[in-house]
Formats: sequence, structure tokens, C-alpha cells
Amino acid sequence: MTGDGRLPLEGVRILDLTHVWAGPLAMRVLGSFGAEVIKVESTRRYDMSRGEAVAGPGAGRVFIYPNADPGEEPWNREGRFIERNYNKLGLTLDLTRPEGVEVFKRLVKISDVVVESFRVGVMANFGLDYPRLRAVKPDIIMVSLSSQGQTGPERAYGSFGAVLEQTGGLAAITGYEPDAPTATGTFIPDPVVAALAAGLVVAALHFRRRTGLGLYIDLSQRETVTAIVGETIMDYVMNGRVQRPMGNRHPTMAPHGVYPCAGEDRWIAIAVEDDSQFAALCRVMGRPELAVDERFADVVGRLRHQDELDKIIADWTRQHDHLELMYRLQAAGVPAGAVLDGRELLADPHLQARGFFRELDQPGAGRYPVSFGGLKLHRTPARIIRPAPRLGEHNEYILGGLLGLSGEEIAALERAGVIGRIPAAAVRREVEASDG
Amino acid sequence: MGLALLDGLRVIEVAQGVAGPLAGKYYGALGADVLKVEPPAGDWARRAGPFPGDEPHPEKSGLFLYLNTGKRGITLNLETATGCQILRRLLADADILLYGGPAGYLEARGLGHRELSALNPRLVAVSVTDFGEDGPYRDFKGGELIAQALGGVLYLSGYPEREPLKVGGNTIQYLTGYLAFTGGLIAYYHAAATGEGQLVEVSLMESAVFAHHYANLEWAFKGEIKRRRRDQSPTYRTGDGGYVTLSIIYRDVYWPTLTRLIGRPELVDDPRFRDQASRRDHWAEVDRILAEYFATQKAEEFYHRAQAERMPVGYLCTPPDLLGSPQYQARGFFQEIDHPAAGKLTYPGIPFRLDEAGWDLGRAPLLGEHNEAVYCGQLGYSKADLVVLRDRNVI
Repeated sequence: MTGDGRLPLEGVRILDLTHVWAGPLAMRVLGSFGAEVIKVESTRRYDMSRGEAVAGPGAGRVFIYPNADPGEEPWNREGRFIERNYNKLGLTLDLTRPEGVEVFKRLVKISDVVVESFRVGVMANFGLDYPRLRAVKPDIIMVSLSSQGQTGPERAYGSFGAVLEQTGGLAAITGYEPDAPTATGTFIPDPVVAALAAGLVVAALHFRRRTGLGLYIDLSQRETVTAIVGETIMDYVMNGRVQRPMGNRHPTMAPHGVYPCAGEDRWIAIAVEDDSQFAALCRVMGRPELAVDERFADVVGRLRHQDELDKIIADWTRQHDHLELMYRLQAAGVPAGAVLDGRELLADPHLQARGFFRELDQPGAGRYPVSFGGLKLHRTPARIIRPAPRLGEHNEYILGGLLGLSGEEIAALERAGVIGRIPAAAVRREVEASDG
Repeated sequence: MGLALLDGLRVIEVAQGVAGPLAGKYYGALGADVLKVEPPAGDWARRAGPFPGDEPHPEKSGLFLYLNTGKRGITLNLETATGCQILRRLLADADILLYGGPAGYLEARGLGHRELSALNPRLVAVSVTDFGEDGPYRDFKGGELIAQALGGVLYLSGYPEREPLKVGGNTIQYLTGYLAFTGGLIAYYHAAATGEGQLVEVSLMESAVFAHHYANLEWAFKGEIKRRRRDQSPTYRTGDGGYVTLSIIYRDVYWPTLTRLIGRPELVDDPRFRDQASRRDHWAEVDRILAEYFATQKAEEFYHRAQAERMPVGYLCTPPDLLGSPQYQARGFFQEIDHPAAGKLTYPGIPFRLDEAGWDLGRAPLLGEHNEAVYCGQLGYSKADLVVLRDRNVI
């Protein structure tokens, strides 16, 4: 820990207009290293991750609420929202109203960074595009995390993670069979974009510190996905070859697969890099003769006879516990990993030792472990500073404390519906109920 | 190109493969001076394909060329004490050390974080490993597939009735590279203000957990095990041999538009498909209707038609689709780069545009290309010394 305990980004104020996953996660990372992140939503359009204002039938199954119970304020207790948005302050501001835009500009004057992930054109419609923000604060840093960038014929197209896997080129190499590409189960483009976007903000802060200049960064999420499959582009450019899905296999390693273990839906991944690891695997299997079997003795043979080899390995792994087998194989120097489910992740001794999950006390929801790790800074470790903001939770602090608006001015904004704490849809529903 | 974002940043990269070099590539693209230190045999990525015409050549690996643009390169054998001593000299006035390899490797050579901070207190040392520099799995053997297994990505990917399915390519390694890029910059921002460097760790396994959160949240909040589902983002083959994935059928806001797009507006009033939960309950029927529909469609055409209705859907793009994409062309994403050995090739660029500043990819270094410039020009060795260092297998 550093002498005065300061975090690297203390003193940096970020206005976070992003929603769903990539942008919010990136800003949560920066918040965990000390940035003051103000999440700006409105009562009419709040972050979709909060879920529904009025929980419909079956909402407990579709969303991630504590004990599958939406509670009285479902928008303040969805797990994904909490995990992506802790360490932020919450402000509501209707940017479709001139009063909202006016307040936002005053906030820009005292902020360092504005990050948004709206559809292209929305910020301009608000009157809050980069030229206008710069007119308010010349050295403002603005980052747009749009689906396809701010320019080009498809700039107005929208996307979620599963769309980007397709349009960016990752789905083309994911699948069980060469002619059956599939989506990933984890919408992986979002965290990839988040990991890059967080760093870009800091790069821009360096730039400003050195030059005194602000900056506009126009990131394309689709291009970010293509950037992580660069070698498939190079292969096509060099050889005209279109790489196809190859299941769990590897072009030059064998065996390389996911094998069944004892129990329901239990699996182990094994990825043998060389002959000595293969010999070690055969020893652990109690089948040393396989290492000298002419089908499997060299890597080319193993690649050619993968189906037979995989069947032999699966017949063996099926009899064993996935965790126990992982330890035995790793002790013999064989790359092996148990396929962990959510419960096992939370209990995993390595992740616990690394402090990957941290308990977060979320008012209105309870105490839950949330993801915290991924970036370990030894002198200035990330911190949990505050829970995820309830909708509009810090309106008074931000408008009164930071901007110096009077209580009467804040009340007027609330009466006019520019700020608030309850989703407009929930208010409407309450009115209907009282009428009926 | 205007002013560079990271002008003045000095990075020493002692990393091979994908993750560490990716971070170095992005530092370089943003104007940092990145010196790549390779063992005499070279980064292993030089031995990995793709190669033009499938003919392996250490200067022509597509993986290496792509991941190492914008760097200078020297060779240095860290298995020798002399090599470690030279690295120490290089680190004395560097800002970031980007290390990628086995945990504990630098420590065992007297280049651990404690020694390095005595040498250069401002140094940010970024460690990119499979599992981190401590913890019970520290010395496990890892890699992409193992990280996806232990990080919980595999359990969520694929079909419920089949084995878990790897996310294609080197995805977790790339994600780790972006995290390394970000972690290094956060620590450097701190070091530049306070003079205090530090150790920054990223690992493949932890990146894999960072890559999702459904599994841990479902368990923590609901006591449920999140499993693989066929209905989460179903993929349909289209009549023209393409594919369309729909991840949005559950969202109530998109369902009416979708029914209209597929010419079945009456489904909106069908009680079986009334809301998200009921569409899940009647998944088989939804699936059949969509499969029948898409079998008559063209993938890219549907994509444009759906996007015109503000439906966030995509279609499966392969490299030729991307290289020919009007969108990518309009943004100039792909860049032609000339390389002394590999010649002119088209590379993917950097996925963002900078208004005031710019980025410049540069090209990958040849093995040992800058030995003389660095050892003689920077560290003061004579050309005769270089002969000694080469003969003693140091460079």
C-alpha cells in the first residue's frame, strides 16, 4: 500500500452514460482504482441491466434477483446490474429535456471524462456531441463505445455481444463442427471491449496530463472483436484460407479436448503440448504402452488418430472426479483443468487465494460475492468503495453538493420529471393501480 | 497522424505468444517506444502459423507479424547471467516492463519485483501468466483451453447435451492482453504522479472469470447452476449458406418487430409466446418457426433489413466478408503494412479512431533487428563486444 493510500485515479471524475455491460464494466474497473464515476441514467431510460420496472410473470427466472424475488424495487437489485456498476454514484437526468442538458453541461465543466455507448447520433440529438462538450470544457475527454464506430454506412446499427461475435468474426471459428458455427455462451465481446476501453481512457488521461489537450475516442466494438481474431484474417490474406470451427481441438496439439468425468455434467479439459506431456498422461492413465503405440507416438500421428485417442481418454476420465483428476494430471506436468460451474468458481481455492470475488453489501439486495479481480495492482490494489447506485441515489449530492444547486432548484427538477428515483414505467403502473 | 497518446512511454517487452505482445502492440500503436526482447530462438509465435503457402519461416508468421507491429526487437538470452545483467541495464530507465511467461521466472533470475524496484523505483512491472504469481494453481500448466475450463467459460458454452465448447481462437489470451494494457497504464499513471512503480498482475484464468458473470451470480443470488442452453443465442442456417444468430428473442421490446420481420405478425397475440418466460417455455416451437423461416433467407440481407428496423441482430462474417465490408472500408480498419521479409500484406488495424491524436501500426521487427542499435547505440557496447555476446549465446 502506498504511503497516503491514494488510488491511481483519485481526482478523476467520469460521467458514465453507458449501459448494459461493456461500458459499465470498463467504468467499474476505473472506479475500483479511484475514479469518481457518476452513472447518468434517466427515469424513462435507465440501464437495461436493471431489468424491468414492474416485474412480469416469470421475471424471477429471467433476471438475477436475490432468491429469484424481484422485491418492491426490482430495478435496484438485479445481480448483473450490481456487478457491473458498483463503485459508482447514481444520477438521473432526462437528456431529452433542455433542463437536463443544461445540468449535464454544468457537470461536464467539472468532469474529466464523458463515456457513452448510445446508438450513433443520440448524443448529437441531445446536443452533447464532442464539439459541443469541448465548447463547454476544452480539455474534456470523450469516449464513444458504439457498435460499429461513428462513421461508415453501418454506423447506426445496434448490437449485443452475440451479434458482435458474428459480425466481428469470432463465431466463424467457434462451433462443434466446421460447418456449424455457434454463439459463445458468455457474450465474450462485452468484457473484451471493457478491458480495452478502460485502458484507452487512462491513455487519454496521460495524453491530457502531458499536453493539456482533450481527446475524442471513437471505438468500434465490432472491430474490437476482429482485432482478437487477427490471425484468421492473416491466414486469409496469406493463403486465401477461411478458418472454420474445430470444436475443442487445436491445429498442432493432440490430445486437446474436453472429456467427461464422473457425475452429472462434469468435465475435464486436457491440452497436451508435447511428447513428454503425452507420455506423462499415459502414465497417469496407467496405459504407458500408448505413448509408444505407433498411432500416438508422435504428434502428427496423434493429430491423425484423434478420434481413437479421444475415445480412449474419455473412457478413462469418465471413471474419475474432475477435480481429483486435474490435480493428478497437473502433478505429472500435464495441462489439465476441471471445467468449473458457478458454484465451483465461488469455492475455487485458487480464486479465493487470489481474492477474485469480494463480498458486496448492496442495500435492498443483501450481501453477495461479486467479481472483483482480473487486474491485481500490488501497491494500489482495487477497492470496493461503494455498492451499485440505486436509481437516482446521489441526485442531491451531485446536483447540490457538486453543482451547488439549491434545494428548491433540485425540487423543481424533480417536479418537472427531469430527475427522479423511480422508473417512469413504475410510476405509471402505480397510477393505473390507484385508478383502478 | 497528430500527437501520439503515449509519446515518451518506454516499454520493455519480455513476452511471447499472444497476451503480453498484444499489450505491447497497443502501446506501440499509441506512440510508446516498445523494445521487444526475444530469446535467441525467437518468440514462439514466430513458429506458429499461419505462414504464406504453409511454409514455416520465422519472419513470416501471421500471428507474430500481427501481434508485434510497432516494436523494435533485440535478442537476449535470459538463461545466462550476462543476459540478465543486460536486461537490468535496459530496465533502469524504462517505464513499463511487460513480462509474459511462467510465474516466478524473473524472480528466479534476480529480476523479481523487489530487485527491480530497487533498481528503478518508478518501474511498473506487468506480469502476464496463466494463473498469477501466487495461489495454489500458480505452477499449473495452462493455456487457452485450460483457462476457459477453470475460468468457467467452457461450462457455459455449447449445447447442454454435448461437451462444453471452447470459444474459438485465442480469445482469453487476447482479453488478457487488453487487461495487461489497461493495468499497466493505470499503474503508470500512478507512477508518473508519485514516482512509485509497482507490480501489476493479470492471468489467463482470472481473465476467463472476468469474461462472464452469469455463473457466479446465478449461484450467489439464486442458488442455481447456470448451464449451457440451446435457446440462449440460437444460430440458424440461411438459404444462401450463411448464418444468423438471434440473441434477442426473449426481450419483449424486440418480439413484435421480429414477428413482423419474419412475416408472422399474428404470433404477437399467441399466448404461448406472450412474454420472455413463456417463449422460453415454448422454445421448441419458436425454434422450429425461426429455422423454417431462415432456411429461405439470405443472411446479410436479413441483417440489413433487421437493422433498418433497429433490431440488434448480426450475420456470420468470415475474413473475406470483413475484408470486403463497406463498413470496414469506410473506416479504413484494414491497413497495408510492408515488411522486409513478409512483404506487403493487409493487417487488421486498431479498433478505434482518435480525433486529436492518431495511431500508427508500424511493422514487426526482424529477429534481432535492433541488436546493434540498442547494444552499441544505447548501451555502449562495441561491435567487437557484440561478437563476444553472440559467440557466448547471449544475443
